[in-house]
Amino acid sequence: MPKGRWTVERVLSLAPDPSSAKAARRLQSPRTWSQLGTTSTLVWGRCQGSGKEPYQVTVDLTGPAFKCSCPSRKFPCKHGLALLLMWAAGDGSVADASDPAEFASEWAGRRAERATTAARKPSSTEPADAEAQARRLAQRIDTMSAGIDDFERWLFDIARQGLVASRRQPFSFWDSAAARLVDAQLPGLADRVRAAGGAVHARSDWAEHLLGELCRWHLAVRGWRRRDQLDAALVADLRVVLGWGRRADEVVALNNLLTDRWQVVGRRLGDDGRLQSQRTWLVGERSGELAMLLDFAAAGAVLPVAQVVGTVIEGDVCFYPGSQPRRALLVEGSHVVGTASAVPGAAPIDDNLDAVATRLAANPWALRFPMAVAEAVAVVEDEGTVAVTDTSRRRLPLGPDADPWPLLALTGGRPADLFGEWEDGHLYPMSVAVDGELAAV
Amino acid sequence: MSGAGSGWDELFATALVGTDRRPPPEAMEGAGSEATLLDRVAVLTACRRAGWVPPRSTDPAPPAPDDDSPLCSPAAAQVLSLLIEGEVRIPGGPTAIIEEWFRRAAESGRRCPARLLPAVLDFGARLPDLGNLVSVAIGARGRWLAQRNPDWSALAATAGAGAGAGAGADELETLFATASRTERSAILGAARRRDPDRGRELLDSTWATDGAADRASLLAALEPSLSEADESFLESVLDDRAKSVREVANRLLDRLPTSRRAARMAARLRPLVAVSGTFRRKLEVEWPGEPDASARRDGSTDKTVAGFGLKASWLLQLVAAAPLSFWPEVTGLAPGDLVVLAKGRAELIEGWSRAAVAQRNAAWANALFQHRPSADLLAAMGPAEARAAVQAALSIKGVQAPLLMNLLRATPGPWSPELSEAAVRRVHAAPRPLAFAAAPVFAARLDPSVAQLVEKWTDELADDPAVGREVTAIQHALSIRHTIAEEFR
Repeated sequence: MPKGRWTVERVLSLAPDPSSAKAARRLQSPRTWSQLGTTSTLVWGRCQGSGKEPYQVTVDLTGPAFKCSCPSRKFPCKHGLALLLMWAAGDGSVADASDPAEFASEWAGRRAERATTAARKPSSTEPADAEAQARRLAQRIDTMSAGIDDFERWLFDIARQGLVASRRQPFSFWDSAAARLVDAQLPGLADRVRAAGGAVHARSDWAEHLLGELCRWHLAVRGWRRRDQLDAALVADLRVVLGWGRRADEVVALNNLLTDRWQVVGRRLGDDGRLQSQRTWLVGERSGELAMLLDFAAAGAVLPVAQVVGTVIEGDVCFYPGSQPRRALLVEGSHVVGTASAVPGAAPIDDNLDAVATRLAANPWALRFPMAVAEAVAVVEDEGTVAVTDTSRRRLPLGPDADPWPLLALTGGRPADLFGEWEDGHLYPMSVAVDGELAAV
Repeated sequence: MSGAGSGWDELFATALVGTDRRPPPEAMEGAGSEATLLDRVAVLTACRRAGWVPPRSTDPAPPAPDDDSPLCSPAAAQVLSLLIEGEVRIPGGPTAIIEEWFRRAAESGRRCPARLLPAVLDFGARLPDLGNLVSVAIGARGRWLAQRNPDWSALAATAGAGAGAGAGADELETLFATASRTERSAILGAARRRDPDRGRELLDSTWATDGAADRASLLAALEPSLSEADESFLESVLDDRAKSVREVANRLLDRLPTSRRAARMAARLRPLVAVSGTFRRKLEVEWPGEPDASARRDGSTDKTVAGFGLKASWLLQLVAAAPLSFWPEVTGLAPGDLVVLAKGRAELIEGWSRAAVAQRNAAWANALFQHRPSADLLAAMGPAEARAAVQAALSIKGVQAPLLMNLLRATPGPWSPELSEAAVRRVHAAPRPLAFAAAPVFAARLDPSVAQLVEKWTDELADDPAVGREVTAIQHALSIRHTIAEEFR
């Protein structure tokens, strides 16, 4: 395989679903393709599909980003995958070329333009717009404050009646409170209220859990009322809890950039029934900074293509305001430069829990914490549950739906550094370092 | 924080019943009781979360032993991954080809990479018959992994030489006597595999006290590794009280042509058989009389065989149970000649067919097959002979579609290039639906060398996309099997 080309597994990991991977494999025969070629950053080709004109397919390896003239709504489409598969196979069908085909270089050029304009573009509002903006902002704050007051009354009702009584309430008790929060532009709180309403009948430790949530909501109310006296990071965390989001261009405008070689150490999918989410964790090689990329997709839609666990990306990361670990955006123009061989910052369990405590002190609403456990060993317990331990023999149970077998298979029960998410008293492993390679689990 | 423990319990109790019923301790300045409760609980909760100390873990199990077998090639691993994840469409399913992968891997002493182990073990657990092959191809780490997960325990058991492997003689008997019915079958099966005589003794140990249903099902477990050493035991079972048990014994004794029962059958036939004529031979076989007690003990029944009358059925039963060596001895004729002379006596042909299969007599099976090809007879022949017989049958015009398919399905793979070519040509020339029926068998057993022939077939199917897709799928399967063969060379 020519140096620098991806492995077939890596290409296949980009497929949005198994049927795309299947379809891509079937398209690999060179007979359907023409004008194939690659430079160090682009791969291109034309694929004869069912239409009259062949589809023009280009892949920008620095993203990776895909462009295809076919009508498919999947992303990446089977043509892009098939092109990369043939390129990765390295059998000469996709040969090195000095100049890209015209359609490929045109698209690459447009991409570069968009990247620079995106980086340059400030919130270019004219003075008249600025006034209207200020008015809208004031209105929003009023609505939210009213909603917070109403929420506090509901919260105090629960405190007076007690947890046991609130558990006897019908689901509409929670649902209508959530609806009022949504009306008051507090969708983040609404989600948590709805989730709590479900948890009250689903968990054996429902009382402790509900009490914990009530406290966090109470702190959110308190925080809102004192927002002018809080530091910027805490206000940012509060906005996340309340659900007052920030647009990507807003974040870029804040210009909180950090250039580094970023190791992709883990990826975890989430699905709350209404929204799919995807968290990708990056660690800067030089700075040691943690960055969390967060993508969303509505139920039924397709999540954006994720970075591949185990790769190293050279590029800029733009941080959201807030306390550690911070959400971030990967700025366009970043590209893969290598593979990661270890879990950065791996430390004993106790150190990791200390870090959790520190983060909790800074952000009382945080629910999920990254963990890098050194010399972690998976233990299968008598009841069939699985936990992770280290030389201290402290026990961190794995999440109930976490799959322990890839971890056990790759490590063979030997200690290995592990990266995962710690949530609600459970560990969700995302990658492990074995044989000089960082592998997703 | 002194008193934090008891403080928490009080606050928690207050939270449960509500501040209306139970006021919180010391309301704060200017704050209502609700705010006070929530404030205090918020602080304590944060402390509890931050100060949480995880419990102690048990010691982990010993890690997996080092693998001494080499890894398979990356291409082979990729093919295995494709097959197991079901990402390629193989007519009839990927199981047969996966089996081939494991067999070749085991033969060349190579193992699959660690990251594929969970998927491989899941797959192997669904197909216990592959047990031995899989446990070699997963390597030491795979066997270690299998023991950790109850879902994969069947594979772990095969690897560890079966249920009750480590048990001593007395332990084994106790285990066998006290286990549930399904477990007993497994234990007996494993014991038979390790030491057939020991297995039979195990069965005998509880024979007297077992119920009829148990006796019948456990007796059937003697069938694999059946040998003449089992004859005495089976002969004694012919006197069993239960009919179901006697039926099993008779069925097993069908397979032992040197048994006393077989000799008795021959003795019953002797007076009925005569060969007359010097120039043009004639075989005469009379109907037997009604079976006596001894014959009934040996399994003769009045239940007629489909398509035959009562007396013909009696004769058929005798012929099926008598040793095939009887016929050349008594008539001086070879099987081929006897089959020809028996034309018109369908009960003889059918009886001989059953005997040939039960007694695994290849010479008779071949002779009968020449007379009338049938899939059952192939089981009595060795694999190479079976393939040769079927290859010959393919060129017979009279062999029609259903029979053709039965023959092809019963021909063990991998097929020789000659047989593969003959099969492809024959199915190619046959009506359309046959291609669908043949696709699974072709995908799994055709020799990859006929890939070009199959490609030519695809080219002709431009106007028949359904068959075209099927045959293209066969092509893909052949290409995969070719890769597998190459990667394990």
